[in-house]
Amino acid sequence: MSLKRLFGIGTLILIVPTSALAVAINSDVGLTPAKDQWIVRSQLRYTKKSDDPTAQDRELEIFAMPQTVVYGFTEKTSMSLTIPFLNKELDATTDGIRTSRGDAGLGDLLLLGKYRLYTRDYPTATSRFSVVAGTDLPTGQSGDADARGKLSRDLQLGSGSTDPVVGTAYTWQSLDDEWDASLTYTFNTTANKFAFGDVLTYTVAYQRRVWPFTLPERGLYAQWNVVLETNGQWEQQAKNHGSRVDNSGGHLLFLSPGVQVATKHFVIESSIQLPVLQNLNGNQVEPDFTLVGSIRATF
Amino acid sequence: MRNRAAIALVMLGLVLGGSSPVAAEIEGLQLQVDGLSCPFCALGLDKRLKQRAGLEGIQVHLKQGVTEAALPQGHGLDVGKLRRAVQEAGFTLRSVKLKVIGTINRDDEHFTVVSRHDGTTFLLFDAEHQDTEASTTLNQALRQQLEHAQQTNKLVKLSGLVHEHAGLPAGLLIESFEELTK
Repeated sequence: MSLKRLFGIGTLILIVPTSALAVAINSDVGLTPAKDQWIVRSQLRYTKKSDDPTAQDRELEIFAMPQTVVYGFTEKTSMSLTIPFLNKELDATTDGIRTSRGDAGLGDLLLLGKYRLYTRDYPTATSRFSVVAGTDLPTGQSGDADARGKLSRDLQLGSGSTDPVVGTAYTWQSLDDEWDASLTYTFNTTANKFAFGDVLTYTVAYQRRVWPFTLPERGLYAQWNVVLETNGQWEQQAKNHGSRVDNSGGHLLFLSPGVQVATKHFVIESSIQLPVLQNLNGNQVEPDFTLVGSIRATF
Repeated sequence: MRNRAAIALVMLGLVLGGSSPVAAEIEGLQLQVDGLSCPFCALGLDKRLKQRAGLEGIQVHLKQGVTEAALPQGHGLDVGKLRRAVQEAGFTLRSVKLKVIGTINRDDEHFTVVSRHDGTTFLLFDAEHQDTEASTTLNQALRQQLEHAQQTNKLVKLSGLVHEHAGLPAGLLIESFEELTK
């Protein structure tokens, strides 16, 4: 099988660090949980890719369900663990016949530590900057096969490699609105003489309270927010036996509007990621959209 | 320096021969917490104030940045512990305001109030103390009220902002004074 057949259905499904705190939906934030505070987040992400420049007319659907647990060791230091459950299905036309292939199961586990370096608190507002570091562990299968043979690397559930991740995140938060910005770099390493390209993600997010219009003088309240994010992802070309893979890597930029309800114990939210810039190398299937639903709880 | 020595003497006097506290009472505890700006972030503060500082009946008022709480019966107030609890929640304690019911003691020029249920002692100051560290002087009207309460051993209710003194009891910046009938 040629490298063109091996690749080209899009970039690696990367479970990027996103916050479990009550803020941006698809971005990491500068906030950290309280000491001994637990936060759990359950996401459902549906991605569709169908804009195929080749005659294969490939269509890829991915259901990802990242489950995240965060624990605050101190007020400045926290650890998060994300386990994604994945279901990938690719339809393609080969020699005039439409076929479907796919895989489902546990993906690669993401383990991240976060340290809050800078804090400036004001009455009902805060400014915080954090650094993150961790690793993507090869818990997902990377050698699965079906009746037609071994699945392409993009259809595998895991990368097969242990990939270090570093990043930073900043947050300005007030009762009315919030700004978040984050930068994450994943060093994709080699496994079985193959390496996905390194990935840089960058995000800027703005969140605005829309209800209640006027805050009650006393107590807590359920807060409705609208969220607008830009989520960028730049990926190096993959390497197979040291040679660059033509149909891999590139630059994607998404505009992601969303809505969120935040209470003392829960956050429920939804977002859609729409591509506004797609500059992918070679013949790759381009993303149409990603739908995101998420619930977070703290205790 | 002279002022700190005087305060220390007051405290020594209280320990060795001062009037023993009757029943002490601290109520209306209000913490001004900076950095708290979303409903989902409030639970961490709630938990730390309960677990670390032992507070009860915690109510966060997000718009005001104020958290109200109560001390359990018989528990004294430890401002340092409060500050640490807020810090562990990831926020900054700007100020602590409370009401204390107790009796007034005096040594030389320095007044203290000893709260009714737990014996927590506060050094008393008026608003001028905020600007001049060396000043422990009280305005004339307040001085007369405190003197009267001390001489008659009447219960009083004082409210105001609390501030820490290293190695000494916390200071209470008196905002209101009320003499109670026992």
